[in-house]
Amino acid sequence: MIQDFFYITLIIFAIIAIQSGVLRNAIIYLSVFSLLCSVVYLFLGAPDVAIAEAVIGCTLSTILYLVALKQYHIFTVYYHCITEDVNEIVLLKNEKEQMKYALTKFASSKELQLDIINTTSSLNVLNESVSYDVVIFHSKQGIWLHGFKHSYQYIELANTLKAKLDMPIHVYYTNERDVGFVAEE
Amino acid sequence: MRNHSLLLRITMGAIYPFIIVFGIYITVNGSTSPGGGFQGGAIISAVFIVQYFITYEKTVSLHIFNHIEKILYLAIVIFTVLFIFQFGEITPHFIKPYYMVIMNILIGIKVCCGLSVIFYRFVLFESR
Amino acid sequence: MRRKIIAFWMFIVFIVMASFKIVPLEGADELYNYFITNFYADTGSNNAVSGIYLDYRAYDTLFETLLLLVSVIGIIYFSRHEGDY
Repeated sequence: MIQDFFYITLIIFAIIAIQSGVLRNAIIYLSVFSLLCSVVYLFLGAPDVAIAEAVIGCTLSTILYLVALKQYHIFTVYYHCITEDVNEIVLLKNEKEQMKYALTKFASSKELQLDIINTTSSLNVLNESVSYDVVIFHSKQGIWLHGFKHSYQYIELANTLKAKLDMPIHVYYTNERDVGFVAEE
Repeated sequence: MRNHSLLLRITMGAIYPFIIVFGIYITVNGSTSPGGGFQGGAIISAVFIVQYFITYEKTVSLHIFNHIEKILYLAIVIFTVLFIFQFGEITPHFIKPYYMVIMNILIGIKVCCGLSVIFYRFVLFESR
Repeated sequence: MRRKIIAFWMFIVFIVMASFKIVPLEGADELYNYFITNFYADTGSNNAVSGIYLDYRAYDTLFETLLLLVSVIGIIYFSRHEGDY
């Protein structure tokens, strides 16, 4: 009886792990799948295999996947609304929502983990203090994008935003050597 | 990556000795209970992974791990082949458990070094 | 549409495979009984898996450990950059 419960849960978690759109959740589902797999091995009378599965599948591979995901797939976007006027901010809010929607679409199509941070600092301060992928300045006149020239994702993002949004978009490239912040290994 | 999580550090630091003891137990008792060299070595290599999460630095020398692994592989091959050639089918019965324990320990240390090298290579060198 | 057809086909294959007894377990009975009855006398280990792993199939174990060594060497080779060893 309880074995059947574990078998069915195993299949359910395998399907969830495949169908999950967010990679980070898929890794966690895979880890749970591995744990259930180890319990099933225990029921089938193979404790050696169960220990190996619990150590390798549930711990080591999950940590390796998470570290790989952390290094590669976070797309950091800094958003700065230039205007000080409260009425204008309310007006710009609609445009901001549209832009957020476009950014989320882009990130999910490229399998990136989107990270939008609101800021009030200028570009020089951001260059010196944080590491970013894109900085967006937003005002009534349009959108200013700042990013790195050799980052193909930035170029694709600029093209997507130009196609999706109906407001003037200016694309700028930051020089690599202007950036004072070096990400720590 | 710059700020260390205090919760993770303290919890992992408390678990740290238990992982070592559990790994050694599984490795040494591989011939009498479930477990063995591979599983024990994998558990001990988790110690080095925990060390990475505590300090975020390269605190181990991969060079030495590499050499240990190669030398231990040579030792395993020589030990097994010599043992089988020496005794063959008519092994005295009291020697066999010692052979099992020694092989388990050698395989355990080798697997531990190998998995640690794989992890640190991926984390430190492959991620830039 | 094509994915749905493939999924349906896989489902039918799964049902058919699950309804038949694919692996004849009777053929492995002899070996199973031999290992269960003789492993302690042959290998001197209380754990049958460990006895098979380290005694009956010792050469298999050697090449299994070689497999891990080769994979580590491959990872070191492919992740080499300037200045690393």
